[in-house]
Amino acid sequence: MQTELAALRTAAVAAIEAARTEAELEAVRVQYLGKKGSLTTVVRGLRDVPAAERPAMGALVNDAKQAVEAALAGAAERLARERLTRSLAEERVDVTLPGRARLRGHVHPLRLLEDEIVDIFVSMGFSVADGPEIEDDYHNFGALNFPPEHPARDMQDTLFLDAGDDVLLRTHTSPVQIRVMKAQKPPLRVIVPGTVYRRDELDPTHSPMFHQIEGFMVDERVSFADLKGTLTHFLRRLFGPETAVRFQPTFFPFTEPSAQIDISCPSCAASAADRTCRVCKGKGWLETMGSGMIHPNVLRAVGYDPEAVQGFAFGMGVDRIALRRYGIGDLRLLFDNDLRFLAQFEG
Amino acid sequence: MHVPLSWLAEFVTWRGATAALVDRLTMAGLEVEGVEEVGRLDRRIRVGRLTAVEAHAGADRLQVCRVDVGERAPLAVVSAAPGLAAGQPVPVALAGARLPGGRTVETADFRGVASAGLLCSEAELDLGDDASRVLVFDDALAPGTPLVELPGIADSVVSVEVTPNRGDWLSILGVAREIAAVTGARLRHPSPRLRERGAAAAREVSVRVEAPDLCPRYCARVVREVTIEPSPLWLRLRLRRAGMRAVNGVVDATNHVMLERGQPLHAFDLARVAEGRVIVRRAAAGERMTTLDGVERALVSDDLVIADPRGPVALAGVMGGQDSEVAPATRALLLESAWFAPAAVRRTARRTGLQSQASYRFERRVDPAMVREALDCVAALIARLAGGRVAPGVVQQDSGTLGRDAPAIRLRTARTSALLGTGFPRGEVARRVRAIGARCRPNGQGLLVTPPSWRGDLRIEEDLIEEVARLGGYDSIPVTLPEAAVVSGELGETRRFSRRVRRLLVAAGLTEMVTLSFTDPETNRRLPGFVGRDLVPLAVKNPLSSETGELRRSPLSGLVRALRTNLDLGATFVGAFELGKGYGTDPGGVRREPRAVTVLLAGTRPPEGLGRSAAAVDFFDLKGVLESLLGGLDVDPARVGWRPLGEVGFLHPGKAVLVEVFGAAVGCAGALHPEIAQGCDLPAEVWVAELDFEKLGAYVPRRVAVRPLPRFPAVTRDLAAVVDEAFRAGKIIEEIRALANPQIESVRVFDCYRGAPIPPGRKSLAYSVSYRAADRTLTDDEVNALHAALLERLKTRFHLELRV
Repeated sequence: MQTELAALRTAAVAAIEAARTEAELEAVRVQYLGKKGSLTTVVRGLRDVPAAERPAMGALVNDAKQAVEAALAGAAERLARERLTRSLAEERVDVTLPGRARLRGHVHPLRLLEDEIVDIFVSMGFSVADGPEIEDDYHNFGALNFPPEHPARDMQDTLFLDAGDDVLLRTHTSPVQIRVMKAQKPPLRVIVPGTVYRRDELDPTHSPMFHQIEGFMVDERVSFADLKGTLTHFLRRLFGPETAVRFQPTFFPFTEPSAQIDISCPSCAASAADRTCRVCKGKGWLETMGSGMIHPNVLRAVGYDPEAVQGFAFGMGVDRIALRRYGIGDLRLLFDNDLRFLAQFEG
Repeated sequence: MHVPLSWLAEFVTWRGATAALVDRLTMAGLEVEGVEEVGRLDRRIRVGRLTAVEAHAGADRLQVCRVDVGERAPLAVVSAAPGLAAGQPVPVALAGARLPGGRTVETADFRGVASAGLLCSEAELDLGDDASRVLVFDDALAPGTPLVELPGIADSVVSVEVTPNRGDWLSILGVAREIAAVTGARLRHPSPRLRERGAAAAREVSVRVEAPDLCPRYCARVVREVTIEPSPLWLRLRLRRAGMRAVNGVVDATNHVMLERGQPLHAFDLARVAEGRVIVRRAAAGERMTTLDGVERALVSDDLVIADPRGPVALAGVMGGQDSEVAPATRALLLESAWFAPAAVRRTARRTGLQSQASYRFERRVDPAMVREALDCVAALIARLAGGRVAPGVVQQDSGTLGRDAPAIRLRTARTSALLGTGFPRGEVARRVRAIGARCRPNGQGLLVTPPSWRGDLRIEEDLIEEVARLGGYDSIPVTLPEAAVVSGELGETRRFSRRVRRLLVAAGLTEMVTLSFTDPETNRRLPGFVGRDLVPLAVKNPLSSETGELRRSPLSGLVRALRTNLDLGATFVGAFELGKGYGTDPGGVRREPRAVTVLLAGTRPPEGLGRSAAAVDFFDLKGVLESLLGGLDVDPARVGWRPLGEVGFLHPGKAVLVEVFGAAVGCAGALHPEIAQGCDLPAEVWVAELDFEKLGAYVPRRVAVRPLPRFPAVTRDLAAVVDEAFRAGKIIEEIRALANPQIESVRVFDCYRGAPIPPGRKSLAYSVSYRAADRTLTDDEVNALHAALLERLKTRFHLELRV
């Protein structure tokens, strides 16, 4: 039996090493260690060995079985390695074929910019307020110190609605100043993004509907110097720390003193204005915001005492800033909603 | 307004570059829009004197002119222009000269006669409009002088944008005053020198003001023996450069004085003012008059008119009447200079649509002190130009109220410093206030300031504070940050929620649009959307076109329009949304502008990759978008209802769903009604959804706590039911959910099959049910029992043919 065992073992190990595929190896395994395998039969035969010889015989058989199993494991590992090597050598993906596309959405540039501006002001302690787009003469003009029949009203050609005498589409976001100040008491720091309307045809530089962001701050001591500081800080955050800012006198009925705010032209630098610059038309400066100290008549209209509180207000056109920021040459692109245009903005 | 610098130089001397002047004006609030260099004529365009004009031997219409251009021999120049005569000084462009239009003059041969240059019209030199004849200079000029060296030819014209509060800037004098104020330069303000002759004006003319509230000051003069002729070149050139057309000597003179001193003036033909009686009154209702532009106008009682005893001869401050217009035969003039109430002039100008240089100035308030001065100026100028004789005396009526309503203004130094945020000593404040022409005297801790007559905009302390800041330049005010308590800025619920919705829809692959709030009445009627379903459309009273005739009831009208645009541009797939508003009046008559989340899908979804084909968008794409939106908003899918909607007008009745959250309708979705799609020339299936933004926000959980993760495995069992086509898959899900068995974790439809072996008219629905217990692993037996009970229940409930 010992001889038989030794021969079996040698034959098994040889067959194992000869196996070239995992299937062949499996066949060898079944041949020797399967239910009816030759080695299994030997193991089963141990029952018939006399009890005295059984331990010695058992050890021999076990030894043989372990050797065959070890050979099997070794061969299996070898074959798996060979298979891996083969697959690494053979399997190829054409990495230049297109990926599986997912639909990608996009945010409208006006909303991107509006969010950016609002977030800057929120970080400076301003809170967002809203108001109706359908307004009345009092909130849009009267309370904002536009006297009836004043040429200042010509600055804002108004769309009126067929709903009573003085119902109109707000021409600016300033009516929200009135609504917020009437509802709340100073100190106030408020920012108002919103849609506004003027009686203009849609053309490369005008639209009957556009977007403003209005803001104001009212407290006991807020000054014109604070206006300059706050808005300079804002403009540098929006347009970059190198941006030069200048304030020049202008007129708004609802502020006194009033200031127009220009920033240095990002294309040609205000210090060395390029006469041929198309962005600033050679001026070196770009008109960007309107601002001023809230007119005492406006403070009185909302029930504040102009001797006790003061504040500044400001506003800007989001659409025009968007044109510049994204290098858009025609305002109509913002409202055409051409997907080829919108797809150029982040999702 | 256009300011020729040569004209300005008569009033103030500015030593420095034009660019520096532009900068100073801009920083003082008089925004310069541009500077145009004009009259920079080629030096080869010279003054020539015609020494002989002879007919061309070989051509009827040509003349051969001998022209002295200051050289040894006269040049021969051929011209076809009429009216040429020896002795005339004319402009000659020599060969090689470049004309303002860009053309270069060359020597030319006209039927055997060589022409050495070109006799120029004023149009060819860009000095006027007349192209019909050669310009003949008014004065004897030295032959050979380049035109560019003549006074007033070469100039710089500064265009300034005048804010509506600063009517005083609408004149050369006004701009000069500003320059003097900000630079300290001395202002020259010459008074008119007038020689009066003949009979007193009052013997021929009378003035009666019946509406002193609208016309507190009216002055008139008479000029006799005038000759109506074109004005000289210098005057025409000034008007042209200031942006006005030359008419005749008299009208040009009134315009010249207006442009120079800011006071609009009017000249009547005295012979056509009946009895020389001027009556300033409100129009009678129904009264009519024909204005200078030849239009007959019906007047209203708000209009202020200048009338004679027969009727109106001018719309005060707006436009003169045709009947009293200065004409070639006019020999005597009645000159008017008056102060009309700004609001009255504005009302009439707007009502009639006649916005003139005069009304523009009156609306912005003219200087009451200039009324008389300007009248004298224009009389003197007409006497000089049109050879008239100014009658002695001014006929006037003055209510005495002008200027009385402007008391001195208190200006506190402390208030100035507090508002501007920087300290100003009283002396400096006083110096600046005086620089703008105000008078001031000390008053307690400040000043008492009387603004000059031309500054009607200065009424309160803050107005003066702006002047103090402006004169030093806003740049000199420090830049500080407010001293205030630290507060946290709040984005607010609405904005936070809309950002969340936007993020989710973009993640679902949709592109955000911003569309105009307007639509036409027909589209508005057909597309109420969800938020606008009960709203009555609001019409725009003064729309620019029918496309902006109404405010849209739903953003849908904008998205549908954008779809059309994109299809025209060749798009094959449109997946878009808008966070916008609908507008209208609710049944109670209250104006509403509800916010909406509006979605539109149309076309063919682009293939995802190779081997995956493009698919037409269908209902399930739309529903998927809404499901991922609601899921992203943490709304439990079990609390979302999808009810067939039936007839809603703008949607296909068989492909429309009402979306409910926690039992409340928040929106609807479906295929655009085929009739509407056809009407808008859209493809057959356009999928749209509209959710009410406020309602959606109201039902979205405020805070989501994390659910504990399951600790034991789930077991799934499938079931399939063959049902009639009309049977809705959701009924089985609702039924299973209604069991509220905690061990039934979820149920979903995973197949809907039609075709063999299922008989026609029926379909097979396959569901997968997931079972799980929170505290143990369910055994097979337990799951089998649960599933069997479930099947039994469905069978009895729906009489179903179930297959496991």
